[in-house]
Amino acid sequence: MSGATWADLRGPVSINGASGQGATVATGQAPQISKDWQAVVSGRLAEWERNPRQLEDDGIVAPSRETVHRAADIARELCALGLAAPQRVAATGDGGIVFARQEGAFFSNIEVMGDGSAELTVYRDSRLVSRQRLF
Amino acid sequence: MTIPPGTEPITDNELLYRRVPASLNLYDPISKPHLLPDAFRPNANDLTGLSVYRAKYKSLEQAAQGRVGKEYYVAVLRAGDLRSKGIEVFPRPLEGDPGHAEIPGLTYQNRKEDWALQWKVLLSQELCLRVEGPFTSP
Repeated sequence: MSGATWADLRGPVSINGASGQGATVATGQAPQISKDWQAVVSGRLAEWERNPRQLEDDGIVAPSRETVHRAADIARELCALGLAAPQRVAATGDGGIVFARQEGAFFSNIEVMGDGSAELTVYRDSRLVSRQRLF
Repeated sequence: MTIPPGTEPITDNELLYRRVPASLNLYDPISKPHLLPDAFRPNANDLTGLSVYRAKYKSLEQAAQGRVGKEYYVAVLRAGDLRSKGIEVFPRPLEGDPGHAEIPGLTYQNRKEDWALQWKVLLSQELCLRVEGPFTSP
């Protein structure tokens, strides 16, 4: 059994109760997935929480501490769903944080916004094929 | 009559530079996808279009200049490639900066429209020729 892709995710996701999700993953992959998500939380997100000033620039809005915390919570929720961790984590420059994955022809982007909401957009060969609010 | 520098039309073969702050982690030369779409996200200053710079007026290092001591990458694009996808780019010279240009279709106001999201993906994944840097702003 192969793991579910981000493109399989269907929102909205309920916090602490994601049983309705179709996304599943082979149990043998779970430890690695958990480890990869933990690296996201304790790596880039923790770094931005410790030193948000590193993101300051002209016209750039750095994610607030609350947004960083929210992104960490969402990372834990997505990990609990068994979804693979993002290959890339970045700041949008607009107060948000993005998790991104390329899976074959599909590019998926989860944006955690400054208001705490999160949106999944999926592109196939650079064309938008799905856009939905997750949280 | 002399045409002021920077006001002449941008030819299809002109190279354009887009500055990307390294601190945002939008570019990673190792992990794929290397360049993320938000490298082309308009910010609050981009009210009339997304800022780019014309290579005929600026070096990569000059295009990368921002806040003192900060690092920036520069994404390289070709005007004709953008136009082939319906993305126009026009000269918008500023005082002392004749190389400034804009993609008027991408603005802060429309940055969340479906097509704007798709343009950002096109720019980052199909139209970007390469990314140079990082350069430290003097």
